[in-house]
Amino acid sequence: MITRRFTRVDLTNATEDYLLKVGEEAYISFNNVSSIPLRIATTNDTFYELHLLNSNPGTNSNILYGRVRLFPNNTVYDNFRVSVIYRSSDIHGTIYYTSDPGFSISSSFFVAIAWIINRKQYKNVRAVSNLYGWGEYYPLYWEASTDWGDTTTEWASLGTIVYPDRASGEIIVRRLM
Amino acid sequence: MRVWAYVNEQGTLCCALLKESVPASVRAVELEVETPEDVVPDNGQIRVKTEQEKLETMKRDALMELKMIISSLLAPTDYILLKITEAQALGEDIDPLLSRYANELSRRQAIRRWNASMKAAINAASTREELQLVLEQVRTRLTFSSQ
Repeated sequence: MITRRFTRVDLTNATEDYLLKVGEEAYISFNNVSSIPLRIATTNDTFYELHLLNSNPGTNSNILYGRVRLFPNNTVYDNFRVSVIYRSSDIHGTIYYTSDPGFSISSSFFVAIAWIINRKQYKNVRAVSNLYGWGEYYPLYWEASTDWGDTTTEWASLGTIVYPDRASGEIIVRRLM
Repeated sequence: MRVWAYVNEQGTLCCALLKESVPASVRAVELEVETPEDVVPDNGQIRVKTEQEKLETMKRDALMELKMIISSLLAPTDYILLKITEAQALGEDIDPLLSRYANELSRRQAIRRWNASMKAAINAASTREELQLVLEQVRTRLTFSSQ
């Protein structure tokens, strides 16, 4: 049996992009901000696993409405296709956007895992999350898959995660391939 | 937040969140926005959405959200309509079904009434703050009565 332990790099206060090696993980802590540059360089043919845990309490008085996205290259484009499915206590549905500005991670406050693939012909983020703080509507399961329909722009920086308002939490990004 | 907007070689409007992310080959416009989605192209220029445009975008999203909530609330009793339609198609008496499912049909009517009132409230909102209050009602369903 092979046991693999990821080597951790703290990028919380990084000011320039760091190229993760396979088997390394980046740790980023954020506090009361709406925009979190990951400061991770990326190249063609790479694959990552992202964990995002909000530390904001899930109370009804501070629900944060709005979607949370990853903007590759720290840039907002407009050519992303997103498929979403979600389910809570009595609400369920699907959403499909054809010209979204970035990779969909989740919505409001949440705990999420996302898989990020960067290939010239196929750039996708698939995220699974549980939203909290929505009163009696729990657990609120949310799954989104986003394709970036651009095969010419190089994805060189993993990007920036943007919340609709200020949030706090921790992020771990592992490079798997 | 501060963004740097430009149009790339593919003609796509791009909005860099960090100044250093702007490609050297383009000229970017520096803008102060609430969210990057507030930046729009306008006759070859790049500008920030007006308050009215932001309200219209928010209304569009709110109506979509309402539609999904209504759809979810109606879906569990859709089978009743199929039963009634099927009975009608076969020329059967539907009164026993109407009687058996009276509560569910009444709840469906209440959902539709609530939908109509929320839709009207969304469309009537004249500011984003007003619309936010309507959205709170939609999300919490505080104003929904199954009677």
